[in-house]
Amino acid sequence: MTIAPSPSDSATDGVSISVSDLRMVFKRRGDSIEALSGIDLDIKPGSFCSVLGPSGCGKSTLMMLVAGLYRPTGGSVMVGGKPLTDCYHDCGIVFQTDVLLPWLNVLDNVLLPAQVKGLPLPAATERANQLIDQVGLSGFEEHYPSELSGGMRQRCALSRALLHEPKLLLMDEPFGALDALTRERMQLDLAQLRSSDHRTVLFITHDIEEAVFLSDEVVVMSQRPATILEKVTVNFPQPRSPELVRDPEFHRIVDNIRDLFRETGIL
Amino acid sequence: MPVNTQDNKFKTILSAVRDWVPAVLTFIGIFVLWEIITIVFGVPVYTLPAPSVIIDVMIEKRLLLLEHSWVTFAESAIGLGLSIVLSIPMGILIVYSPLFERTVYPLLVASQAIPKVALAPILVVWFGFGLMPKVLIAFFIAFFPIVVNTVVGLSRTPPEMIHLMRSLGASPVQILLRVRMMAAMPYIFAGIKIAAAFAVVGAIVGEYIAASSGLGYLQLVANNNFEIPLLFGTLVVLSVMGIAFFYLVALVEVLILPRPLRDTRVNDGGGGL
Repeated sequence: MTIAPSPSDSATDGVSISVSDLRMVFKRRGDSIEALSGIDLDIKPGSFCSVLGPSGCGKSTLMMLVAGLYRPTGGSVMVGGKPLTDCYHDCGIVFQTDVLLPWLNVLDNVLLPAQVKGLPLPAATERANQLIDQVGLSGFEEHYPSELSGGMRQRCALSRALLHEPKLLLMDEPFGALDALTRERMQLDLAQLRSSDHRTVLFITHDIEEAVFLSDEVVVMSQRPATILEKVTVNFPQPRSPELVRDPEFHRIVDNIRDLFRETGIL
Repeated sequence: MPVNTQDNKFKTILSAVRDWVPAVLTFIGIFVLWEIITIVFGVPVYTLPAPSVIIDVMIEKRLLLLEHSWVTFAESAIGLGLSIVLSIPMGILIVYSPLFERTVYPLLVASQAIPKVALAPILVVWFGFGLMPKVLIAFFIAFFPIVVNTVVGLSRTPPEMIHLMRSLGASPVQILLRVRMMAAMPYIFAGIKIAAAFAVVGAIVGEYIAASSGLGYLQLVANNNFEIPLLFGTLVVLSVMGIAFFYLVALVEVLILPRPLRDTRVNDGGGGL
């Protein structure tokens, strides 16, 4: 699965993300839950950044804040150098569940961003078919999501996130709900995607190997209220090859992060 | 996974037939038993007329039945139509406006404790003996289930779908029409099916109170004249009308909704994925 960039433009250039002293407190029934406690983060344009942390630590909250879907309690998020005041519209999101619309077939689901944004349909359909082909869903264009396997649905969701050539791709544990083999396949496919693509990716995960394998930078988070424990730079060339998991240096980085989790009582 | 659609359709029809056969046989069995009992025990026709007698009367008085059926049909159809047209926007208002949710919705729920049938005499006082009071009773009874189901359906939209739409820059109207209304469709249609049966009840009750036509009126007349077979014949027509309403709604559902949104209890032959 090699996702070719759209033939047309430079839209696949990424944006920078700059998060400073970000705080988020949820209030529910009088209780307040502090999800994020002073997060500072800088992601370079075109970088693949993973946020790695235990479940329930506030990783997803961070993604929602970067998308502009939540308003932070404190601090600021800058995307492409501008502070977010509303949702950031030039992004594609892949959630943990596919969030496909069950009443639309594969093609119409992939075309959803074009429909919502009012993009010209002939060009969008061409791009959608190209993406569907590249993620291996050719022949399933007319199928409804309920007729697809979990992996196929998530591929469809990925195609939808890429249709409008967003400068930012947000992925919230996108492979978390898949079986082990499908997950590994999808990780390799996503790594391949990096070969021809320069958009910024923010990837939320709780899988250490997955984070190190895919990312240029891994941001390790603590338990809630989340703070950043460490930022690990991963200097392997992109795209990552499947052989990387046999590299001793890969294992050294993974072990270091695992030790970090042990020291902080997460493991 | 991908299955030959032609083959699939055939299987669906086949399994639908298989599902229906036992019910139809039971239905026929009951009537045969009924016929035998009336003959064997010599049940008088004014207590329980045999199915054959009822059918005879229905054929004999078919024009009379048709004439009165049309009236009841019109009353319930207008009442149901009115309730569909008004209840769905009401449901949307309740979901989107905190004011409506806090003011109107509790009243609407509380109003369900009122036996709406008891409104019939008052409506007759206000609107006379014509079509209007029956249409209004049908409307009042049919309104509530659709409102409630619309509210429930709209509220159950997965939040991720709304997040997705917002991140794409969708307007609230786009989110309503493209996602929330679609997600609510199975609920709304379930509400309309309940409402369809209620609407017929409302029309008949209205006719019991004050009417010069309609199946409810015909039942009263048959009762007064001691024409018991006609009374039963009217009941048969009413049952058929109720069933027809239900399946008409189910048919519309099949025609306008994409396959994954249809009520599987009614349309799916039990097969499928």
